[in-house]
Amino acid sequence: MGNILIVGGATGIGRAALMAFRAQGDEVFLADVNDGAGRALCEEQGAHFLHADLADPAAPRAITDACVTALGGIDTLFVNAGVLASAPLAGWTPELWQRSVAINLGAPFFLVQAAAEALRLSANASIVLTASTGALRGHAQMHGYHATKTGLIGLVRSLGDELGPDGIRVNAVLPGFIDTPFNAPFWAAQDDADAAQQKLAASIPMRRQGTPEDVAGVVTFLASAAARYVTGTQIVVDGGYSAV
Amino acid sequence: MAKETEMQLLTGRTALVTGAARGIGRAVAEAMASHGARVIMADLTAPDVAGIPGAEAIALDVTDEAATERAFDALQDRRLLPDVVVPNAGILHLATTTAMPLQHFTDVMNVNLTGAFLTARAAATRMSAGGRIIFTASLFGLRGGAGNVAYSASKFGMVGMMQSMAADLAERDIAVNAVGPGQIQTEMIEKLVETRLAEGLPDPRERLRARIPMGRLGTPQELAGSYVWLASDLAGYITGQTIVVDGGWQVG
Repeated sequence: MGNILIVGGATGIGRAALMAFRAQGDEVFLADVNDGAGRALCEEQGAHFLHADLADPAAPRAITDACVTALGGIDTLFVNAGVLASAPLAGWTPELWQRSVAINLGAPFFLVQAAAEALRLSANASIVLTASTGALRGHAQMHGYHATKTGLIGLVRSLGDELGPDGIRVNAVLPGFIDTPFNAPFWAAQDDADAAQQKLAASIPMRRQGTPEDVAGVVTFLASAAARYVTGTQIVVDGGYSAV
Repeated sequence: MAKETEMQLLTGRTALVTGAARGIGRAVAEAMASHGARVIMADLTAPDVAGIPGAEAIALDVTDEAATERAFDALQDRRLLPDVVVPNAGILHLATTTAMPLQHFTDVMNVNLTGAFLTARAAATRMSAGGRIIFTASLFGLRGGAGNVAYSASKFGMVGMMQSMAADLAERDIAVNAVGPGQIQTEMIEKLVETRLAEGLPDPRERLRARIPMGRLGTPQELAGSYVWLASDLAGYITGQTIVVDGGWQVG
C-alpha cells in the first residue's frame, strides 16, 4: 500500500481523496491550515495530521519532513490547497495578487522540490496537482485564480519532463464546478447566486455540479499503477462543461 | 489498480471492444475481463479468446453499417448488449503528403473515423443510463506529425466527434471519452520498424525514446488501465475528455 501526502484536505476534494485512499488501505498524511476539521477528519480516518500554513515559505520542507518521519516515505504527493480570491480589477492589490501566486503556484512547486528526494525512492511515484477548468476558461474578477491555475498546467509539463527519467509522474487534475465550500467566494461575487447556480447546471452537459468524490476518483487513479505511463498531462472532471 | 487493491471495478458490466484481436484492443479486453466485466471481442475475423474469462468473440467489419447494426441486434437478442463500448479498430498508413495515395487516405478515414462513428452510433442507440463510450484516439489526434496526414486527420476527427457525442449523450447519462496513446509497443509499431529497417532507415524507436521523458515506449497493458478507469464508477463525472497516456512525450 502507498504512502500518500495530501496538502489541503480538511474539507472538499482533499477530504474525499483522503477517505478514498484510506478506503483502499493506503497510509495518509494530511497537512492543512484548517486545524479543527483536519484533526477531526484524521482521527476519524486513522490518518496523520500536521497543521501547516502555506503562506510560510518554510512550510513545504516542514511538511515533507514530517510526512517522511511519520510514514517512512512518500509515494504520492497530492497538492490540493488553494485560494480563490475575487475582486474587480481595480481592487487587486499587490498583496492580494501575491497571496494567490504564493499559495496556488509557489507552494505546489516548492512542495514538489521538497518531496522529490523521497519520491525518487518509490516504485510508483506520482505527483497530482489540483488545477482547475479555470485553466481553460476565464471569469471576471478571478484574475489571480485563473493565472495561477493556468500556471500549474505549465508546471506539470516542465516537472514531468525533468522527473520522468526518475520514474516520478506529474499530472494535473482539473475539476470543473464542484459543489464545495471553496466556491463560496465565486457565488458571493454573482448578483443572484441561486439563479447563477441554476444557469450553470443548465450549461453543464451532465446537468449537475460535480461532487468531491467525482474528483477523488481521478486522484486515486493517477496515484495508482493503472496510470503508470501517464505523466505531464491533465485530466478534466467537469461533466462535459469545457468540452462544449 | 487491480494489482494493488484487487478491486473489481467493472463487475456487472458488459464491454464490447472492436479491433480486439491484437495490441491495445486485446489488452483493454483482457484488463476489463480481469476487472469482472463480460467482454465481447470484435475484429475482422473473430479473435482468439482463450485465456480471457467469459469472453465472446465476434467477427465484425466496422466500416459495414448493416453488419454493425446486425451485430448489436444479435447481442441485444442474447441479452449481451454492451454498456461499455470501445471503438478501437484502427489502421495506419504513413506517407508524406505528396506520396499519399487517395485510396490509403480514404481507407484510414473509413476505418478509424467512419467505423468508430458507426460502432458508437449503434451503441448509443441502444445504450441505457450509465453507459460509457471510450474511443482510442492518439497523440496524433491532438497534434500533427510528418507522414501522419491521413492518420492524424482521422484521429483529430475522432476527438471532435467524441466531444460532440459527449454533448449529445450527457443528458442520457452516457459518458463519452477517449484515450490518447503516445508511442505504444504494438504490432502497428513493429511493422513500421520493420519497414524502416528494410529501407535502410534508422530504428525510429531510438529517437522516440530520447524524446519521451520516461525514456521508453508504453505497453498496451499500461494503456488499458485508463480504459478500465474511464469505464468505472470512479470516472462518473468525466465526459468529453481525452486522457493522454504517453510517458510525457507531448511535454518533453
